Amino acid sequence: MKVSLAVFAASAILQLGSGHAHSIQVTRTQPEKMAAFEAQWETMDGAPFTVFGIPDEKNERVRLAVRIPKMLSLLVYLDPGGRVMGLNEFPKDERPPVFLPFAGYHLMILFGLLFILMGATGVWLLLRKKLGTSRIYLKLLLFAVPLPYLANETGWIAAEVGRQPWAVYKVLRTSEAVSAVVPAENILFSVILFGVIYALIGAAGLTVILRTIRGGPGGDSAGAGQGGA
Amino acid sequence: METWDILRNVWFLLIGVLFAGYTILDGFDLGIGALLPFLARSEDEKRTLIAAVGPVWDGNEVWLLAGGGALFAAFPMAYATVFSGFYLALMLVLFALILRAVSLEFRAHDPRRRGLWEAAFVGGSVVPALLFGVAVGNIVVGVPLDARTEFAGTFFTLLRPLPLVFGALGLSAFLMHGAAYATLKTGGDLRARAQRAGRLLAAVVAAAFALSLAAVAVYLPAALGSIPAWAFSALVWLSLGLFAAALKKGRDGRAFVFSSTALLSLWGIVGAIQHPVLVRAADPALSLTIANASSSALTLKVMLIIALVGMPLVIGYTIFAFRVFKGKAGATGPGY
Repeated sequence: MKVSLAVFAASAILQLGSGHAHSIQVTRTQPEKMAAFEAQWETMDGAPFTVFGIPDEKNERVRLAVRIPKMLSLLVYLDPGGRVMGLNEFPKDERPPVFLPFAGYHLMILFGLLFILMGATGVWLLLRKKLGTSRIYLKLLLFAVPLPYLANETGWIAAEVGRQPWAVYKVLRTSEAVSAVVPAENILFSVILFGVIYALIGAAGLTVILRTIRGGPGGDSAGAGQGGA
Repeated sequence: METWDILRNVWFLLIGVLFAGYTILDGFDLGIGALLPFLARSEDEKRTLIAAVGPVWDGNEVWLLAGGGALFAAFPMAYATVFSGFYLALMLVLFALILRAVSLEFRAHDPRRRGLWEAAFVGGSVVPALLFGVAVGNIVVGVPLDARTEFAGTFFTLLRPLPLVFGALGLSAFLMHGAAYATLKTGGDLRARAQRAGRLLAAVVAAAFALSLAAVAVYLPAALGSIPAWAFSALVWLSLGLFAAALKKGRDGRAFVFSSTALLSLWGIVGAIQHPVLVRAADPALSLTIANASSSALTLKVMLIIALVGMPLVIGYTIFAFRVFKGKAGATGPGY
C-alpha cells in the first residue's frame, strides 16, 4: 500500500510535467491542434485558458466559457503575452473538429489534476498515520480504478481527432489514406467483430479478476502458474 | 547490378527467411493447437501439450510481425495490395490469433468456461494454419489487379482451387510439424500417440504436396520450367522420407529437424517460382515485383543495417528461450 501510494503520488506529479511538455510541443508543431484543444478561433497575444465551456463550432465561439486570462500563453510559452494561433489562421478544410478534442483534452487534464489531489491526500493521511483507517479515502481509491483508463482514452481521443484531417501531417489526408478497394461493409464487419471479441475477453477477464478479489489474499486463483506466457 | 537491385534482392530473401522462420517456429505450436483434441486424452495430457508451447508461442509469433513489418517497409506497394485486397481473410487470421492468445491464460484461470477457451485455442490455431497457405497460393497463382495495382476481386476470389490446395498443404505441414514437436517434448502414451500421428501426417503432407504439384502444372504451367523449384521439390520429398524414418526409429530431435527442412524447402519452391515477383497479377504486366514495388535504396539500406543488428538479437534470444525450456514438458512442471 505504501509503495503503490508513493508510485501513485509521484507519477501523478510527473504526468503533469510530461503533459505540459507535450502541450508545448503540440503548440509549436501543430498549432491548429492546440487551437482545437482550447477551442480558440482567433489568434491572440496573451491567450486565456478555458476552464469550462461548450464549443459551438457553427458560430465559432464557446458557450458558458469560464476562462483564466493569459493562462494558456503563460503555460505554453512561460510568457503571459505569447501569441497562440487560432483556427481562423487555417483554411476551413484543414481544420480539425473542435468539440471532441476540446472535451477530451479538458477531461484528461481534469483527471490528471484529480490524481495529484488524490495522491497528495493519500500522502497526507499516511503522514498522519490515518491511511489504514480512512474508510472514505480507501473506498474512493477503489472506485478510482477505471479513471486512469478513462484519462488515457480521453487524451487519445483528443490527440487522434485533433490531428484530423491529416493521416500524415500536411502530407496525406485521412480521406486519401483509406484503402481504395476495401468495401465499407467489410470495415463495419471487422469493427463489430472487434467489439464483440473485446467485450467477450473483457467480460471474461473481469469475471476472473472479481473472483480472485473475492477469494481474498492467498485465496483461490484456479491453477495459477499454468498455461504459460 | 546496381546497389538498389542488390538491396531489393537481399530484402526479397530476408522477407522469405522471416516467413520461413515463422512457419518453422509458430508452425509447431499452431499444429499442436490444432491437434490438441486428437492427441490428448486427459486433462493432464492437455496441460502437458499446452506447457510444451506455453513459454515459446508468443516469441514465435514475433516472426510473423517482423515479416509483415519488413514487407511494409521494403515493398510497400505489395503490402498495400495484399493487406487491402485480402482484408477479410487477414481479419479472420487476426481474430483467430487474438482469441488463441488469450485462450491459454483463460483456460487456466477460468475453469467454468474451459471448454469454450479450449475451442478458441483449437479454432484459433486451425484458421491461421489453413489461411496462410491460401494466401501464399493466391500470390503465387495470381490475383486480379486493376490498373492502380489494387485488388479487383472479392473474398471468394481468394478461394480458388490452387490456393485451397496450398491451404491444405500448409495446414497438413503445420500439423505434421506440431506432431513432431509433441513427440519431442512429451513422454509415455502421449508421445506414442504423437509419433503415430506424425507418421500418418507425413503421408498426408506427401499427398497434399503431390496434389499441389498437379495444381501448379494445371494453373501455373510456366513454373514447371524452374530448375531450382524442382531441386527444392526433391528436398521436400527427401525431408518427408527422412522425417518418417527418424520418427520410426525414435530419433525425435532428428525428426523435428526434417519436418523443419520440409517447411524450408516448401518456401524454397515458393521463392524460386516467385522471384522477382511478389504478387502475381492475372495480367502479368501488372504484377508487383521487387523492382516496381520497393522502397527507395536509402530505406532499404537503413532497414538492412537495422536487420543486421536486430536479427542476431532475435535469433539469440530465441535460442536462449528454447534452451531454458529444453527437455520434456510436464502437466505440473515448474517455471512455466
